Amino acid sequence: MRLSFIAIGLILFFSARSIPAVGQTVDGKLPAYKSVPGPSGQLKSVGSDTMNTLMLQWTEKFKTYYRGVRTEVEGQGSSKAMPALIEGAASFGPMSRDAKSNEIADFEKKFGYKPTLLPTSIDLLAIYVHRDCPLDSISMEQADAIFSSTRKLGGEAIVTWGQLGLKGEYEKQPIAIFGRNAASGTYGFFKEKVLGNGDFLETVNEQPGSTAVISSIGENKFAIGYSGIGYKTAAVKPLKIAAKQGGEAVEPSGDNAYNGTYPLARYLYLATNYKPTSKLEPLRREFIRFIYSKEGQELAVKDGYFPVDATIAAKALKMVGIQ
Amino acid sequence: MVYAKVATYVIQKETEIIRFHRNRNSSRWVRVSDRIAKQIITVGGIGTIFVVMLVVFVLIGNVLPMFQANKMEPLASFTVSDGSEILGAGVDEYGDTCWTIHRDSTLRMYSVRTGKLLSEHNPPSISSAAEKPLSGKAIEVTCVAIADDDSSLLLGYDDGSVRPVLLKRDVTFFKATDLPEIEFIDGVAIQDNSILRQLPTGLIRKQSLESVTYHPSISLFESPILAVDWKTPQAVSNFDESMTWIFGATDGKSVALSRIQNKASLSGQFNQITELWKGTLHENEVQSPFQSLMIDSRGEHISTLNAAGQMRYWAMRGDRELEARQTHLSLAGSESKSTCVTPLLGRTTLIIGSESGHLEAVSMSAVGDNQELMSIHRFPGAGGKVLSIASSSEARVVAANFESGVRALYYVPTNQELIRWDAERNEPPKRDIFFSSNAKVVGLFGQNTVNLWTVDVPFPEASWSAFFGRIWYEGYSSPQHVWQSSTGSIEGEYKFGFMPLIFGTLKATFYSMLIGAPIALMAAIFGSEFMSSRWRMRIKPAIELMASVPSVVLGFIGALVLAPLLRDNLMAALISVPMVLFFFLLGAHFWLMVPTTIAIQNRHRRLPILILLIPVGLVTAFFVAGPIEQMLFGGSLTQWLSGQNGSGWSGWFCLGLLPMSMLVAWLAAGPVSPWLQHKASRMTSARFSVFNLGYFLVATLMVFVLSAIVAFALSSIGWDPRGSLVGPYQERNAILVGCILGFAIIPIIYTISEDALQSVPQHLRSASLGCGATTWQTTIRVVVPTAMSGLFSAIMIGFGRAVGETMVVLMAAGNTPLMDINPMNGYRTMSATLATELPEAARGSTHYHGLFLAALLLFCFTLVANTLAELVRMRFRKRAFQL
Repeated sequence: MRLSFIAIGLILFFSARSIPAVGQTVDGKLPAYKSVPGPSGQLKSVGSDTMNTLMLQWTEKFKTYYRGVRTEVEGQGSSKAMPALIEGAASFGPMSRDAKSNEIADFEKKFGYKPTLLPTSIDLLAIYVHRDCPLDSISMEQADAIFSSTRKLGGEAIVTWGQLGLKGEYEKQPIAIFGRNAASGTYGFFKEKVLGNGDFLETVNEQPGSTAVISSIGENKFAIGYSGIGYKTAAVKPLKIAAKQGGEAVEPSGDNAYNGTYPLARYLYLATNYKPTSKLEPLRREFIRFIYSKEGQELAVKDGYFPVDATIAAKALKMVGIQ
Repeated sequence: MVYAKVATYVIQKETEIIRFHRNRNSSRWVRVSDRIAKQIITVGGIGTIFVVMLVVFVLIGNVLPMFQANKMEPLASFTVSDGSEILGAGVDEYGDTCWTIHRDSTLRMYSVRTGKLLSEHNPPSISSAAEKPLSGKAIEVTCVAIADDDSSLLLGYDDGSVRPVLLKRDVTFFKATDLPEIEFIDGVAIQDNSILRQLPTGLIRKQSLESVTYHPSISLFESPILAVDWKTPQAVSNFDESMTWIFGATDGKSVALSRIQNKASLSGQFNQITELWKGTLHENEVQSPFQSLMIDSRGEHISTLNAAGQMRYWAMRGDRELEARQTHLSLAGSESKSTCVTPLLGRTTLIIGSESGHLEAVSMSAVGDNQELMSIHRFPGAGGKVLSIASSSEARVVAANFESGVRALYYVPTNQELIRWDAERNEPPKRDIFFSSNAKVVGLFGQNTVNLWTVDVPFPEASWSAFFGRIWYEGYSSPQHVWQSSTGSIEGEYKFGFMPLIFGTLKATFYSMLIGAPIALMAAIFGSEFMSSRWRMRIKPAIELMASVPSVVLGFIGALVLAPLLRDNLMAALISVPMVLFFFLLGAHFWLMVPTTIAIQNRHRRLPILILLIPVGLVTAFFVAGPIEQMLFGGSLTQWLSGQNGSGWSGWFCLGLLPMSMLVAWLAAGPVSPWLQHKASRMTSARFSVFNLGYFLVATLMVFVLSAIVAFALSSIGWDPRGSLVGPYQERNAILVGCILGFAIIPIIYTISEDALQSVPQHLRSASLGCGATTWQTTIRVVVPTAMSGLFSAIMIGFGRAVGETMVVLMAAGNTPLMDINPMNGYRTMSATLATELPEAARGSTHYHGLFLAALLLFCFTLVANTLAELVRMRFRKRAFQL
């Protein structure tokens, strides 16, 4: 497993991540963060590797407010979050997916109450093609017909670019398909939303990391693949997506995510152990307040994600008893 | 003889040394260090064995929990006070409260532990005259559909209307000190309408039914509703409270599918947008009334079933109509009638219970380019007619209640019975079965009784047949080995077929050995037998240095540098290997033409010339690739491979070249050879070399002609290599990884086999050469057989490396779980699967434990291979000693 981290690290090293979300601004109603006396000690986070950079940025910035705070961030996969919370080995567990029912059951067995999952920011999944590919938009049904063996959305199997209406050199070329490794949050999300819980074709090349998917598409003119919007580079082009065949295709943008027209938006969560009837200790309380402040959300934007608005922030703070 | 002499000499020497030491005591330091070394070595040895055992125990310890027995315990049973017949029931996720819905639309909430009625809810309109039919008789509930999460239900009425009912539960926590006056019995107390439970952590959980909202009824048909289905309401988006209700209903002849969007407006009010689709069969098509129906996972189609087992699939049409698209006769066309139906988790499969006691699963499957209804499972139940079935909301598990009084849980994909138990003596017969919202409690309700059991089925997906057998998964057109171990939501189906992984591991090993082993062996033979020792001393460390390249780097180069290169120059790459070999042979023939004296003088230039021929071959291959691709494959090999153009002939022609050249080589060496020798004996050496070159060129031509004939024969009987031997080209494929992995195993095979060849006693070579054999004859007939045990172990060690290799295959093989020998596509090995999935698998899930099973398999794999190799090696060694 360690080897795979090295591999992913290597890939990250070779293809540095771009910083998108141009022009995305955070909700003006979010408060600016003001430090308060109190927080000190160790803040440990174990969980999602998608959110690893984001967590690092948050903890680093958080430390500038509080000298006495030490932080440690481990990103090994969303599934590591819940066991770490149950064992008390971490104060936060970032998760790029919802908690599974057996994870919640394990937590509840130990503590009697459920874990709290705070929606911290919004990630968009995009379907990418090579930058020279003339295709601009795709419908969910077409995407399902390309990626799926069960084709639950009902289309005919799409094997060549010609079937997507492209002409010329693309017409007869078979489509090369790339995707994330099985069991990752991104893989599961795409499987649920685009494949309607069907199965991926066996010929989808699974890459160990989002950057590997992007770089594979970037050097293959006839490739298609999916990955988080935060990983976009100049070599690839995200497609507009139409929820229905023949419907209007919308581009992956913050506005389209908020109004629900872009179908592939998801929350990035921060799981924590909040005991109902109690109050959070100052360290965790302030970190959560920081995440839902203007500064915290700006960091999310800087990392390529989309911020939550003030309403969601207020709701999230209420979930852990912060008014 | 020589060995014996050497042995006697050594023994003599040893005794001399021993005699020399006998008179002196070892120094204290020597004795102490000897003892320490002995202890350390013992500890180290035992420790190693212990650690290996520990690894095995950890693996087995993580695999065994999957095969533990499932458990069932009675939880409670109580009789409902007066009131009308129960039509549906549910239990909350903690197993503390139970609710029932009755024929008169009343919803009652009970405490599970005591059976005490906690609260009773009635629709507000039951008293209003508006909803009463003219006859004055109160309308009655005919059927109920309950959402998976138990928080909403749909009632169907005998006046042709339906009514959604929403339950809102309230769970709050208190500190024990907040509620000092309450007395707990077994940790449970009842206060007002709520249940209080003490938790081990000192908290108190208060649970109550906060509200029951009966929404206004929606009139759909004139006649009574016979069946309803209610899809668990889903949030429209994450960002507001909008909910969509999707439900279906039938009155026996007509079907209705409705979607109601409850949009949250800014003021917090909901405004409803109702969409309704209806469909009716023609009079002559109706055989027996629809008995039940299921909405599919997307809420766009509906399936109906009548008692005769005939299923119809209805799809939306633009004009608010439903259209019967397909029919399917379930129950295997038997005389048996369906008795009960439930949608399986995920709403793609409908489970039918029949009078004959069978359970049948019907699912929509992708067949070719169409979707068709198919009966994917049919298995006998536990005895007698199936009275009722219910499906779990956590796994593809159904609970069935049989006429014989037996209740059983089945995992549908493998048809496996998970657990069964018998009825108690005094239970009333006609009973409906149901699951709690988290599938931890199974209940049965009759006219006015409720019985509950807790069931613990932690790993329904785990069984040998699920891991290694062909399973007919929903959406597939036939049973298959599939590895799709994770899903986005609980509604996806887990597929833990290990066969594609085992196959992938073997395929990776096969192709890398196919490429790496011959190169390494031939290089070792060349290095050891033909190269001057000066060169050998330089080349060996250089090759060994290759082993120090980390496999991550190799994988990275393979995935991002070689893969695109190979994709863009596929034809050239494929031609280059035979082309280089052809140039070698051609070069050898030309070398023969060189006068002997010059040839001997320039002996040392032979190797550089040979090396020079490699780029010549490569460049030629590069230039001829285009025309050949144009000629044979219509301009694009990748398009030909994916079946876009060309015929099967050109494929057979290319595939036939290797076997045909072997055939021709065999003919030339075997039957034709004596004739050739006879001819050669009468020629001058210069003439013979020209004759030989012509002979070689004719043979080459023969290869082409023969393959063309064979290819023509094969393609004229309609066989096409595409789809079986070769297939669509994938950028990450077995050839690519074979080359990289071959590169990774070459150094280790080379080093060991070179050492083995070098350790063959020199006198054997001398004897052979002295008898007049050429170097080649000596190598093949004397040196290689003698060194066979060493060569074999070199290959086995290379094999071991290839089996366990992770990073190269993870990064360059595409990780596609295919079962396809085609070298043009990728594979997924067990090691790469472990590396990517173990960090992401939820701890304690079947997936997590299943991956440990894969690890155990991998371990057994290498263990068996190594043991086998060792046995074979010992046999060879014994033979070698006899030489």
